[in-house]
Amino acid sequence: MLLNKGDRLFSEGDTRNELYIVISGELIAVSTNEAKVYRPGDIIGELNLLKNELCQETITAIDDVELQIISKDILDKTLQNQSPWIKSIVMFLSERLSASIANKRNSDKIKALPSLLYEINNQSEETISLQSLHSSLSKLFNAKCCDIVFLLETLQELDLLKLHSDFIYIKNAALINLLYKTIKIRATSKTLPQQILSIADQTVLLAIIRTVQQSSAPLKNGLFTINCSDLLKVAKRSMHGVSLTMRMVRPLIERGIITLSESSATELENVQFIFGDFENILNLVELNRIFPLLDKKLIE
Amino acid sequence: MQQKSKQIIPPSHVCVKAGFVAYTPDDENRKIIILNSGELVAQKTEMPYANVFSMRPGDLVGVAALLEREQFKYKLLATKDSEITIIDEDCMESELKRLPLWLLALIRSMSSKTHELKKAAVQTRVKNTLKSLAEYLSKKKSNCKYLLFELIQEFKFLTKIDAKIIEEDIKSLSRRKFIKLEQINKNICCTILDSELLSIFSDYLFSEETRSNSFVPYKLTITQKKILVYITTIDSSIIKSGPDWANLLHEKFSEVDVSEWPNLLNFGFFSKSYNNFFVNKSCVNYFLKALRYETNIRGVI
Repeated sequence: MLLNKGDRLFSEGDTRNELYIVISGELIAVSTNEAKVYRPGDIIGELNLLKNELCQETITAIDDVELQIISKDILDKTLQNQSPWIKSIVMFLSERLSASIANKRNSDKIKALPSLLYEINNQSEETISLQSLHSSLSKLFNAKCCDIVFLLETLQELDLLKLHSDFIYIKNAALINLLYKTIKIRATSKTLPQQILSIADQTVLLAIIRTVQQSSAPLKNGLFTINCSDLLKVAKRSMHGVSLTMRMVRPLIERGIITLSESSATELENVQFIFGDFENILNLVELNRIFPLLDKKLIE
Repeated sequence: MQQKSKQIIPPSHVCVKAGFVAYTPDDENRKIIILNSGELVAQKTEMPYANVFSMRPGDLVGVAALLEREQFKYKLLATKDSEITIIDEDCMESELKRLPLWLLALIRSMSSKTHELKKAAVQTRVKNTLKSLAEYLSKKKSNCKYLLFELIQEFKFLTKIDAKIIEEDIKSLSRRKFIKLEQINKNICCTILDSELLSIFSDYLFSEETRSNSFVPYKLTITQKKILVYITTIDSSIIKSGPDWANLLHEKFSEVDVSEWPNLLNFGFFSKSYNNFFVNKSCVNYFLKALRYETNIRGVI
């Protein structure tokens, strides 16, 4: 097969049940945000032929090109004449290549998340220009546009931001900052970050949130003060009759999330007031809701 | 032809009783194992010997070991009486010699592409590590002291760049006087001297990569530089129409005519307000800073 300079071999999304071996000349392959050159000896379209996958690139001849075409018929006839295990190996290699491409795509997306959160965290405005974000991420991480868009849509699904045509509106900067720190701690110290709470801790915090919301006492600089007796009542209702104990509250005190008016008390019944930063607690509970969801969405 | 077929080394077929080991990574000979019947389980070789996956008839392992020299790292244990085909290096080589060249090329291409993709999946995507570091540090506050190891740790977390490369790039930024390194109480601290300058430097590297020698501030003519210096003295609250600005500039510099106006707009020196224009101070300051620190940015100190 001969192609003249500028001729298109195929476009992204086309169906081709054949593979091409470049005999002479060069072709340029362009896919979303990436480009590469095929030279003599290179093979194009292994997975189109072996796995009937759609073409993943748009390929154009840079100069006059000669290609050898291998069709499905030729492949089948050739494999019939070989030992049966050769066919098994060829099919196995095609499966493995397809899985590696999918894995690389996924890993690119996952690896771009910290950089995206870092860039968002460092913006002083609530709205960010999409163009400037793309530019910064391209310089910082060489991130692909499609990966950035995917991640922004994922964060939008988690209600952290809102995407408009050419800008992003940040809904909860503090929570994005908390998410960034949590991911960073998990990656750098290889331990479970302190921000990730057990189900028991989350249940206690939800009871505290309910108590604060029912309380008539106003917040002072975002800090709440609740009666411990009120919390015990709310907790009993929300925890299906189970009584809240000091043992359940202690991990939250140790992490500095809440403080007791009587720090040396051994029973909650002997404590009069509980203090804490309400927004911090709301964000912690929300973080623990979205954290596993984010992991799941990224892996999907 | 007869000569050729004589050279073929056939694969070996082996029966493995349930409970016996079919393959162990200690075996120095690399081989492909195809399960014909029965069931095999791949097990880790270290405690607690967890099962990794099961093999059903038709499944095979060891292709990467033979084609890419990546040792298959699990032990294969028969959980049922099994029959396996073993293809060792000699057998594979003799068979590959018989294949048409295009099929051999196809096998090699799929194998090497997979190998490259696996490698790329764990490596950084960053091509220009210095540009990436400059961009990262440009988001930090100017004249603030940061612990160097914390900066390196965070940057490595963001980009997956090797710590040694980061250290070299830190030295490069220090040589250009963009950052200052000093020892305080046994810790090395890094001060970002001017974060905007780092941002300009990363823009410079970016434009050098994408369009060679096209960083706009370094493309200005002498006249354009004179205009730049002049308009820094003009307050941004002054608003004029395009022709009025062109006239003003012509009065100041006789060589400037109306044809220069579109260039100045392209550079971003002026911003539009309805049908009028005002001096864009942040853009003008960006150009001035880029020109003032040209030697640092180009790295020709």
